[in-house]
Amino acid sequence: MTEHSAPKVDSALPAQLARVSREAALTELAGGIAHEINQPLSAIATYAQACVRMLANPAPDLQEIQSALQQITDQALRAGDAIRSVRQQVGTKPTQRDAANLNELVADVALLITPELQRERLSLVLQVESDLQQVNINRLGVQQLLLDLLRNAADALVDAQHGDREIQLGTRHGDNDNVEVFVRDRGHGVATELRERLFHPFFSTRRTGAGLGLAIAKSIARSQGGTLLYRPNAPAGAEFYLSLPVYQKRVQI
Amino acid sequence: MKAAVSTVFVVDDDLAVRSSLGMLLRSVGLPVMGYSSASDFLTHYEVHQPGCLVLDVRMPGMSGLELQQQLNLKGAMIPVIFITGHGDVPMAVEAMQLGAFDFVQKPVRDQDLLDRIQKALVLDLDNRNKLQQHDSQRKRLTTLTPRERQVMDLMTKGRPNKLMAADLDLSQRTIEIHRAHVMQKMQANSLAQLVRIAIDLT
Repeated sequence: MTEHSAPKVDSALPAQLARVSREAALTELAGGIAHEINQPLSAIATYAQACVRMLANPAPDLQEIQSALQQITDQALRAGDAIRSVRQQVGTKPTQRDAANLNELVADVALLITPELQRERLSLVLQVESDLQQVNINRLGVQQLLLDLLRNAADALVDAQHGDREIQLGTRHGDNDNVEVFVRDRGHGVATELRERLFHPFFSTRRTGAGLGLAIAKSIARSQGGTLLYRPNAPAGAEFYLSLPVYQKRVQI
Repeated sequence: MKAAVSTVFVVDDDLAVRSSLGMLLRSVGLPVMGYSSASDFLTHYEVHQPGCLVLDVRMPGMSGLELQQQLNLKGAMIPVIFITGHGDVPMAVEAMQLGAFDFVQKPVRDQDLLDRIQKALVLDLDNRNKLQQHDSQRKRLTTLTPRERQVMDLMTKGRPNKLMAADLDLSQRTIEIHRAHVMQKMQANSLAQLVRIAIDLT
């Protein structure tokens, strides 16, 4: 395993990746989606409760009840439309995947994130496994995922002591012949009781978080045929790692 | 002045939310008026109309919070119950600080909302009664002669008749007559009640 802290400056970086913090946009999106779905749900609940009360009347106004039931149907369809339109906007386009070397990708990501980390007086240490097999991934997707994990790690170190202000980014051989890329910090880590919900949408320990960052990262990982996992870092902090199957060349028969 | 029937005024820009609330409230026999915007409500509402306001905190145009501020400025004391979406808790807190009566979250549990509305309507009538009482007491006060007014002031300070007579250079008998007039005109049954009225009027 080689260790060096100054990534070399070379590759041209895709413009889309230039320091996009998606957090604010995501928070707004989540709020918008929640509102679009909560409105019809709210109307449905109220119409239904009104129906129950009207039916308790010895001479219920059946026409009014019928119109409430029609409204319930309409509002359920409205909620369905809202969800459909979100799906269309977020999109489920198949992503192009190619054979890639994770070490090169890690070096690119390090280059991208370094200015941000320096501003926060954080250092980045690379730990790459030199003898690493290729993986079949969408580079942009995995870069975005790693950037998100690095930013999470930086957030976790906001109040950290001088000696702990370091993030480790690296690659290694994993289980089942998989290849792994990891991001480690020495922050507070994730409490045991919260680990189960860590990747759930809308789960956040941050007051301002939309709780979508890790859920999206997890789904990016899945779209690459990989898995995003958490484990506590020793002696302190968090480690998130993406486990990817090794690239298999298709054999012509 | 219109017949004073307590009405629940529902202000929500979402037609379905508004009409479902209207249906729910009518199903328990409450008179309801619906408005699609805060400004629509403001143009139609007169402060003497009793009732309570059920208000979506987040609306395009004038927000629920702004409407509440406008009502405060108008001196309208109608109690406001805010309905909030799930992400609006900080807004709800602000609303409470501005004097909102209560808030409920969407989707609403009907019994929670109805309980709060009942409480708000009771509070509103209570406030209006108090205000009316206050007004009529103020009117009664104007029927006192200047001399009676002087006597009332001294009475409420606990001045004994004998000293009052000396203060005002009148006989004790005359003071007693003024006292009787004050009690009668102010419709007070006891000195304690008169003191209470005097405090209310200051």
